[in-house]
Amino acid sequence: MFESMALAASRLAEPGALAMLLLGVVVGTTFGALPGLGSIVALSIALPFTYGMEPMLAMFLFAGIMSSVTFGGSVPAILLNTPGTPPNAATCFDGYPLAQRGEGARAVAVSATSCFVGSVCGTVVTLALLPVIKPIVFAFGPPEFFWLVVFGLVMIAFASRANMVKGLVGGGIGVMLSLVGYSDMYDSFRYTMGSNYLWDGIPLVPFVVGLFAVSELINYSARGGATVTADKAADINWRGQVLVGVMDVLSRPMQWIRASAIGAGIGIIPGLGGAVAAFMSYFVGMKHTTEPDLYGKGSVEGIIASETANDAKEGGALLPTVAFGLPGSPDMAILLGAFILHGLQPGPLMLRDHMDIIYALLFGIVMSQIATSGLGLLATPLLARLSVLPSRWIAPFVLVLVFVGTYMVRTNIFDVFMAVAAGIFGYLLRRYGFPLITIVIGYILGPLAERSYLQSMQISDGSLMIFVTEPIALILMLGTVATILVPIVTAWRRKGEVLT
Amino acid sequence: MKSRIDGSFIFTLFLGLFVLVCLIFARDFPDSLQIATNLAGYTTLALICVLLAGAFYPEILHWTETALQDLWGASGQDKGAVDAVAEEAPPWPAVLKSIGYAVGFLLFSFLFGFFVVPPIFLATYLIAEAKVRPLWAILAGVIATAILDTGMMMVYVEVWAGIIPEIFEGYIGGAIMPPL
Repeated sequence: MFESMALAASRLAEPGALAMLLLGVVVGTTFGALPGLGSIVALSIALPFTYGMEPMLAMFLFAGIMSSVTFGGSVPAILLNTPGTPPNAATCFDGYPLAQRGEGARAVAVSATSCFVGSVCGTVVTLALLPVIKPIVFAFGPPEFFWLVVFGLVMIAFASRANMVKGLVGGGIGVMLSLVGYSDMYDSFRYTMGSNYLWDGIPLVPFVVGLFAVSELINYSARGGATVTADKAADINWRGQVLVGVMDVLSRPMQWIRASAIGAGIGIIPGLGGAVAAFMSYFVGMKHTTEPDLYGKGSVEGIIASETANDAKEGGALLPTVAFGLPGSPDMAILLGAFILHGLQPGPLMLRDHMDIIYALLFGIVMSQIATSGLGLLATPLLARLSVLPSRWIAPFVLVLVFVGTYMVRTNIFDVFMAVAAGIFGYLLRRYGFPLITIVIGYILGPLAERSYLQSMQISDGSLMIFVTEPIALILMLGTVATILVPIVTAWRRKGEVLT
Repeated sequence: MKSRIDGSFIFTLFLGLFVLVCLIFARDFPDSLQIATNLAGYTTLALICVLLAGAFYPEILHWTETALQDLWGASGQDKGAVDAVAEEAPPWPAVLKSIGYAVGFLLFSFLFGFFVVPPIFLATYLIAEAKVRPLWAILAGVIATAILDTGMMMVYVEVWAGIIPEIFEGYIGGAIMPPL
């Protein structure tokens, strides 16, 4: 084990490896920052270029891309309310209000630091769990998966907070929209209206990018002005904010440890993506925040929760990918392709024969995260000035980026139509006070809940007992039920005390 | 007296009709696939009815909102309403103009492609809305498009050339429409 570690570490010090890491960082940050693109597109494009390359160097390139996409995506999410990738949507809720208050540099610095700690924690979790990964992954079958997703859906109620009825309506609409498409389990089409385009459902990237980015652009350009007014901008100390942002994260260890645990934990479970990790962590953070008045209105803890989980997820997702060939997230599926392209067979044999490659990936992720966060912090005072530029200078460029980015994912022009339609819909939702966050949760988690429920029922031959007889499922169910019931009981007791 | 049927009411009504149509179509699905639709659909529809009724009988909406707030919300106080409308909405003419730009850009891009339309869109918008000097606006549009299109070609992404009959091979027109 230590030989493999030493080999990977020594290779990492070579100029060629560092060059690959930096190239990956540049590609990943750029693709992350362009709305619509993300790690899947970046990895897919990089994959053929690595053909013929030495496997370890290719892994450094992939590590650079994977670790930097999240930070890249958080920058437009914070400064323009336009998430670079779907998982960065959760960062908008607190990042953008901070930028509006003239604290954009602080928010970007919080994101850069959170990405770093998340990445390190995710890697530590991976290293610690490598020897015992098998029982953990196999313990999660459809019933456990179902309760985990139901827990996420329950969070819709908490996410709605001061706008409960509209928030719950939004969650329901999100679930309804997610059901569009072909169901392979029952060979049946739902709401496709004879369209081939809708066979795969409403595509995630155009939907989320449209809902957040296009709707914000409509709002942004119609309103005019800038994220931060010029008179306020004159008093801002951008460089000073960077240090404040770093300290914001370092002084809240509980927040990032919790977010890292959630991110890495969700990453390990195959099938759940980065968006689920970011939103779950965001809502758990909401329940335990030390600044409830600010959460959702410019709380650094909100950014820490989403961005740390986003990066910690990468380490967790790597575990089932290398140990069993089960991709923990969609970008890990591309990485799986990369392993096979380079003659590496993921699974027990990889753990036995190619531990150096696994360590190279893990060390590469940490090293490139150091580069990403370091360069990000250096560039933060400059990046944050974007929030001072007049919105009508920025809006057309961002719209062009959204169009091109959305088109590039599948080179399907109708994805751009979908993004614009989602954008107009999103604008109306915003205007009339329906929280976008609950729609996205319903849209992402709805089909996962349905699928795991139906799979469980097929396994148990129609018996609902499967949801309570497995120990982990039972624990998750009790946790979910407690999450629903504890506030009700507390409210009753509170009312009883008031009456007496 | 302020009309009770405002934009919010009409939009909520539209959402209700959408859910209702979804529920009607769901009756043709296999039984197992109706579970999620019915569970989400009927709950949402009931809440939409509360919102609609709230336009005429505000106490119904107030009671429901307060009851839900007592259970899971912020106890009636606005403790960080996530993503709620925080600022005054811009006037409709400005909003429609912004939507018009986006839809116009989309339709022209569909017809003429990503080589021709983005620089024209960028220059037009910058001149008309941002009051940028024409020369700078045109330069910005051309440079930004050149970077994006070159970037796409470098990573072997086929740049959308527009659906009109081919004028310049690979650049303007002649794109193959994906199945709709």
